[in-house]
Amino acid sequence: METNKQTNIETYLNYEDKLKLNNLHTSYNIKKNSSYLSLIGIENKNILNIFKSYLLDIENTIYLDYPAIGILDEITDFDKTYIIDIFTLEDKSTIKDIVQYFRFNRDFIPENNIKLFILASFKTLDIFSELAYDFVTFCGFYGKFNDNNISFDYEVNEDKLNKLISEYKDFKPNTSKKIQINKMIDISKEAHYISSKVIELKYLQLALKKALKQKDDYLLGRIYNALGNYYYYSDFKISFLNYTSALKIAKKLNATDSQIKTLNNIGLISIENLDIDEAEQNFKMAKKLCEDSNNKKELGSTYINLSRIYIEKIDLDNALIMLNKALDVSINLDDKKLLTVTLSNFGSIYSSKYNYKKALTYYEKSLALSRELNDTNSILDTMYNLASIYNKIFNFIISYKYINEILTITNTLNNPHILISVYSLIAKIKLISLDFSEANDNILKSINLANQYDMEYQKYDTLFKSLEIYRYTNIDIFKQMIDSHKELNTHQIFLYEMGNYYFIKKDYKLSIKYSDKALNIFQEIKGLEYEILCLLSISNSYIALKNYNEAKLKLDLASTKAEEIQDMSLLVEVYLVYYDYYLYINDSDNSSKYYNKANYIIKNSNHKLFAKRLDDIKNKVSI
Amino acid sequence: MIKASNIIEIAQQFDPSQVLTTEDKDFHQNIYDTTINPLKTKLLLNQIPTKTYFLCGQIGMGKSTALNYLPDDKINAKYEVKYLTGKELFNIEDIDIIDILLMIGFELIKNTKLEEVYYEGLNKLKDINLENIKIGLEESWEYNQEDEKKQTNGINLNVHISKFESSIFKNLKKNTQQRQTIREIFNIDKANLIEFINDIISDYKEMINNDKELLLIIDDLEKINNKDIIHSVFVENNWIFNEINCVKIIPIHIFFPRMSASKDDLIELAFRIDNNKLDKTDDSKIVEANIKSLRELIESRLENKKLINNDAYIEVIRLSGGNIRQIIEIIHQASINNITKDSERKGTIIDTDDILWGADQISARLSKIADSKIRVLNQISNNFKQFEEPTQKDEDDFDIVLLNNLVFFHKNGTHWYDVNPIIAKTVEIHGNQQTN
Repeated sequence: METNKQTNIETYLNYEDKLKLNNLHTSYNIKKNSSYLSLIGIENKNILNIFKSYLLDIENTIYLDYPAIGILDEITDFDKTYIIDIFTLEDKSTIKDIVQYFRFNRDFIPENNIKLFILASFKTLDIFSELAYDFVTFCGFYGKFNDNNISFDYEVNEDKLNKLISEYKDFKPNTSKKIQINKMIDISKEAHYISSKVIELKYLQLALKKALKQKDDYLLGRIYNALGNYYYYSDFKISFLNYTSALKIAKKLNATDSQIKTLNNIGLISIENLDIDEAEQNFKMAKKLCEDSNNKKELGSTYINLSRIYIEKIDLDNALIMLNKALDVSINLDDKKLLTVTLSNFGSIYSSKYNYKKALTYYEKSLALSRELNDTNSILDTMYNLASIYNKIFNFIISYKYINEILTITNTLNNPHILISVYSLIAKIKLISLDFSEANDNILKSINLANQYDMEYQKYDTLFKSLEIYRYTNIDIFKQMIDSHKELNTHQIFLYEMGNYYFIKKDYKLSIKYSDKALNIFQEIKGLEYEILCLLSISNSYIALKNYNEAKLKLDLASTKAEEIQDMSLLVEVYLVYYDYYLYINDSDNSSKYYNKANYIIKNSNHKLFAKRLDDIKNKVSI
Repeated sequence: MIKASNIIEIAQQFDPSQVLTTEDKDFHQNIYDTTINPLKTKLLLNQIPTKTYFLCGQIGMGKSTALNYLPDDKINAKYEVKYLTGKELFNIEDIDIIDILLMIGFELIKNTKLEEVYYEGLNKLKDINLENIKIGLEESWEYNQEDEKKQTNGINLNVHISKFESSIFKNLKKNTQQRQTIREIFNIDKANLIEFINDIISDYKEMINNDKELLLIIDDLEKINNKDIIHSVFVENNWIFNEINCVKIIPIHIFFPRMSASKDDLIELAFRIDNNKLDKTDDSKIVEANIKSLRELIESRLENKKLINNDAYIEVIRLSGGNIRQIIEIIHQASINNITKDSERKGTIIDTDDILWGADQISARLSKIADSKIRVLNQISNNFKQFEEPTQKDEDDFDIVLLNNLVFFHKNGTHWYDVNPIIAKTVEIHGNQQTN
């Protein structure tokens, strides 16, 4: 089953589906001389047409577009392979009838050496599983293929913002200051909603200046809260100070709703400052106020925040319970905004659980709702999350599609927050495709934006990301950056990179020392991903020191953890080190086993960086 | 079949769609000694000429293979064994006892000199029955709309079935109206039809002329999974099977045992690789022996037993839950994965990773339905039995989880159930979430 359309179809498939296609190939090829049955689930007509043309290109195939009972009677030439298209069936009862028909006639297939590809919708495939499991057990291949094409049609609606700004500009000089300030806050809120960060800050600063002169607590409370929200994305200290001021005012005014909101916000900042107890205390106070005042909407938000506490405590099951409570509230109140946030948080939890498939489902649902609400801020955040997840599952095409869409939307918005993260992600994708120059350009853009807007948190985040990029693209810059930031040597990611730095300098003992320091911190804070990377780094150093026993111990530990979470990037990292290790100890069976394992993923994902590293090891040039 | 000497051949030999025939006896392991041997004894001692045995087992438990290997020398000495299949005639969603009676006759006379006798007999019966309808209508004649309808029906019967011949049977499964008409014709006097089928059986015995009793193994009826049809055919009309003048073995759907009070003639195929979780006194030696049998079953298909490593043997047996087809499916998928991943596309040694991958492929087919039946699955996972007071939904879901092999049934000592090992982890995770 080698067709010249293989490359063509592969451009439509994501990494997982490419693996499925490989298995479809094998399952068919090994059954050339006997009966064959595969049930192929197709997401939509686009992918159906691609599959149809692909299968028809296989020698000796005949297409039967006759989705009716008795279709097997049409099969007369048992030397041919038949493609039966039942995709178009929509009516559930018709689908059930045909499923039962196939089930009842399943023995006809092996008895007559018939070869069948059945193309069906996802719904029909599920009905096969439910009503005709015995037929399904006959399949050499059973799988669903998604369409990788995503269409974007979102346009930011800036009308409301422009209208508010124009109303503000039309104010006469004698318009009351209170009205002016309220309008400025409205502008900043709308700017926040459509993610226009520069306008958001500009009007908040203006409003603050005027409100301070007015000494109006109510307005100041609103402004401090809004400023807290703005700085939440860039500088936790300033954000925290603003929220604290807002809380003081809310207490003074005895404004319960404002207190709840601010307590929740302070709790979120405390999480970012790794003060989980403080965060929990704030959320619990917010929860009590919600219950006392019967404020169900804010209770929903508080449940979401409490789920964050459980995430930080790596108690993901309880986090899910809290989110389910938030889900109930959002459904009962028919609060779509709350529902959007809840779904997005479900996505984050499943992403933390390394269940990327489920994470994608929730993010996609959240995105659809955000679009419905025209909530640009959520749209951008969720698109970024989706791009990151697709990158993690090696579906770089879709990841890049989301990135491009974010860039299109932010083109007019001037939103440095999202762009800093997006440029970092682009740099990572360019690194993976060995486009070092683009990787460097993008990471530089990210660094410059973070510095330009003085975004404390993102400065560090970008720095760590840039270290990873430069480690591959420009060793000299990497070394310079490590040398010039030695003051950061208590931060776990920096320690990890210092381990890499000394490995590159071939000071393996120091490399182990720093990686081990980082490892201890990651173990403490349960940063599993980096824990595995540190173990691999240590293992690499032991291999270089020819201490193979220690190397194997760390490697096995990393492998167990990586297998547990099934993160593809980490699995390849593990396979690469195993391959290297077995080459050093001259175990050719195992070295080729791990070469194959790594190569299989690399080949199908088109991960050029891993491909290069695999080649480097093959040529005995360890990185 | 030849024994596999490389991974590609493993993928070919472990083919879930292939049933072992008597030509493959080197590959056959009789794992159902305790079930099939007593059935053989019953058949040899049987004195009731109309006896019917029902054979029941979950998907992939090896019913077809067990029945293919049932006739040994002693059985063949006493019985003329004939396998009948309903595929040609039945529409699985619409089967009636009349269809089954006609199928028995049709399968016996097919391609023999009895064909003419059969169709002639059916045509006579049809004429008699239609005449009876006509008389019935005339006797109750009162001109009103309702009776006019009845009369129209009577006329239609003649229109749809002018004459019984082979072409009518060939189109039967596609033609709903024709099936309905035939049933109406013969439902008028079932006893007459039974008598006629018994005549055909006598003619058949006379034709083969070997003084043996006739043993019919009637395939395909186990595929009926519509509960109403199962009840109508096998419970309400159960008496009809005991009027047919030959011994019969009928594989039947797993819903049947819970619908029918009579269990005397029911043979249930089940196989376990774990001790009875509801009975601490269970004998673990049986489990050990069963696990050994399954390993032999796998090894019997291999020329080179080392193509599957030891851990992989243990893992595939554990993940099979004792279901034969599931073993074959997992090994089939594991070998496909092994070949696909090998850069030379030949395959290496099947290891635990391949087996786990194979099991994942199968569990993916079940995941959607497992998600929707988590309450029942959680109950089985924790308590190994159905709820004490199940709701109607629990009952329905329980049927579905059994039907789809999400749960395996074990019948040693106290009957017990266990979740299919390939979805056990999913059930554990979802179950915990639900409990919380």
